[in-house]
Amino acid sequence: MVNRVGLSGALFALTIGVIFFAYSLQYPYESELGPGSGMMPLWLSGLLIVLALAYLVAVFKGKDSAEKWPERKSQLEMLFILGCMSLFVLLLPVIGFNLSCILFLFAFLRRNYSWTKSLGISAFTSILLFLLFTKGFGTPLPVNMFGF
Amino acid sequence: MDNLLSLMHGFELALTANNLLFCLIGVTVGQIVGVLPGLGPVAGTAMLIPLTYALSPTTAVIMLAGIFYGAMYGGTITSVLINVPGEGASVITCMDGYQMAKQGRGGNALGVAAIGSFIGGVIAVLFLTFLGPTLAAYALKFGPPEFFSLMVFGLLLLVGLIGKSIIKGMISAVIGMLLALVGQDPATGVDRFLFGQLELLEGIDFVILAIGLFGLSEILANTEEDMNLNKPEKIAGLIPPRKEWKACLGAIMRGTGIGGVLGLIPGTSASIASLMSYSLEKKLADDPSRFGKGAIEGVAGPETANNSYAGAALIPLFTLGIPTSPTIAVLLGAFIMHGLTPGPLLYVKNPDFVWAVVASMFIGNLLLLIMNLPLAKWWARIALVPYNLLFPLILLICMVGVYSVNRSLWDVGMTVAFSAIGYLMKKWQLPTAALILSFVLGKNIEFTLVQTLALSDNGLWMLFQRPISGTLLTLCGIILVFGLYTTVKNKRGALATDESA
Repeated sequence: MVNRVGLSGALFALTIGVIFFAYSLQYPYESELGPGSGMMPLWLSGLLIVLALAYLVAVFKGKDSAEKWPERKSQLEMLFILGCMSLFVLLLPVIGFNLSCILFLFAFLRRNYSWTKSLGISAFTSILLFLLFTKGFGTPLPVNMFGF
Repeated sequence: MDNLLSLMHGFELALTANNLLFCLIGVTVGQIVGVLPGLGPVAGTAMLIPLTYALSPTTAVIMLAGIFYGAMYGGTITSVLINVPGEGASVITCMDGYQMAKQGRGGNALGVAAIGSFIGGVIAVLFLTFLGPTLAAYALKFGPPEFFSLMVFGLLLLVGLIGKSIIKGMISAVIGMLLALVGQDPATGVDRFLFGQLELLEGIDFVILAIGLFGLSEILANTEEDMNLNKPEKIAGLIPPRKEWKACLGAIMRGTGIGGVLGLIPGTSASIASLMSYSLEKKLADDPSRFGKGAIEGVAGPETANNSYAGAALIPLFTLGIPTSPTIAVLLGAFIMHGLTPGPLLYVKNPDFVWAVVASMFIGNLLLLIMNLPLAKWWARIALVPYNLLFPLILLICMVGVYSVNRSLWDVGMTVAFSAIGYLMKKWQLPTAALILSFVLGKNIEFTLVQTLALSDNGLWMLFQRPISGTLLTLCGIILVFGLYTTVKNKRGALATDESA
């Protein structure tokens, strides 16, 4: 039985190798000074393809040591985290830093704390970070039409 | 004598209110990172790089280095009092440290660990003070072929030693180098691997990769762990009884030596230093059966070794620009972001910076000793902050930190993507340490190779014709053969699972 985790890893490496190899062919191999901008990537991506094939062979021979996928509960938790982070990135330019931040934290904290506590911590942290970055480090953060 | 005078000048700079404050912040954050399980020094250092943008390069590196060696101190506390190592290098301390705590000798364990850490840390910084300039002066004679071979050697040592398979290590390293080539080629001006995205013109920012692969992916990986901790054991009497002093001192000195030597070798880690020190102490003990049941040397040696390692690991970075471990690679990235080029010229071009950072490490170690001896039980309580409260805050700080670097949401999105890739790499057992190290060195490796080929009349042979370069490349060949042999024969042993710090 082929280890599916290992198989996905080998295919991942192979895909990256093939994509970079194909792109490397577009760049000049030599230049007036000697080596061109395509030389290094061509050799590296070629090497990656060879290594990925060796990885693939190890997987098919059952000699790969990849771990198992996590249980369903952990998978859902991970998707939740990645989903919240992606949503934060999408909402930031639309509703501004403070509201996105409060929503982001509230989504996590509400699962373990009362809604008042969750809202309080979220709002406090958001304002603290906003002040730290804008006033302390002089980095403007995205704001909404109301200025926060 | 010159070194001492330079060091004194370094103290003058490090003792300014601003630098002192950020040294304190650095070691405190490092201590917290060390105490908190699920957050290693690599992640901690990477996450705080964006916050150093507003600081001067000297202050920034003083703070970031403080996080690195501070984490080594912090990891001990939870290992001894809760039996949970805060970071990889303290895993071995659990064996005897926690047993000592259960016997009511937790204070002794923490006391000897703090004293040993201080001695190991300070002696390693003394190495850096006196060995650094000599090594840097020698390295000034290096040309592009030597630097190319040295970087490849450093990278191969890491790839050859960590992980279960050298093939996987090399896959990670090659991917890291390919990612480093994204963006405009500085030599020819050709845009490479933009995939239609103009945001990639400047290349992939180091912070994106470091925070994604180490900071955020660690949080994703923690979803599979139980992050609830036991209550800490009580502490009494920090100084060990007089009859144990001799044994402790011997272990501390040997630990300092082991950590100091391993710190110079690329591919090793603080965890390996503590593991080797523990094995040595057990071998040298009159009654090895005491180990695992509360032997004080089992705490003194490893804890000294990991701190000594942390100081010594900065020597190759400062003198040759070669990172020996992932955390040092993150520090190297921070150097570059602040416009500094680590390597032999650092001592010539930025002496104030070098000596201020070196002096700050003496101060930082002293601060950590003060913070650890009387305040150990308070630090242990930090580990009890509920993880479900902590991790959303960490996620948020990481994302806002990345945004603040270029004020770009694209960067934040890339970080999220790299966090998922970092998690998958952990599952595939592709070492992320090799990726980050080769990413940091990638552009320089290409640059020195291009320079070598431009200088050479007979192509790559020039690399073998120069004695230092030729020797290093021959050693690379040996490492490759050794790595392939151990992979094929499945004999990678204790090094196989280690890639932290």
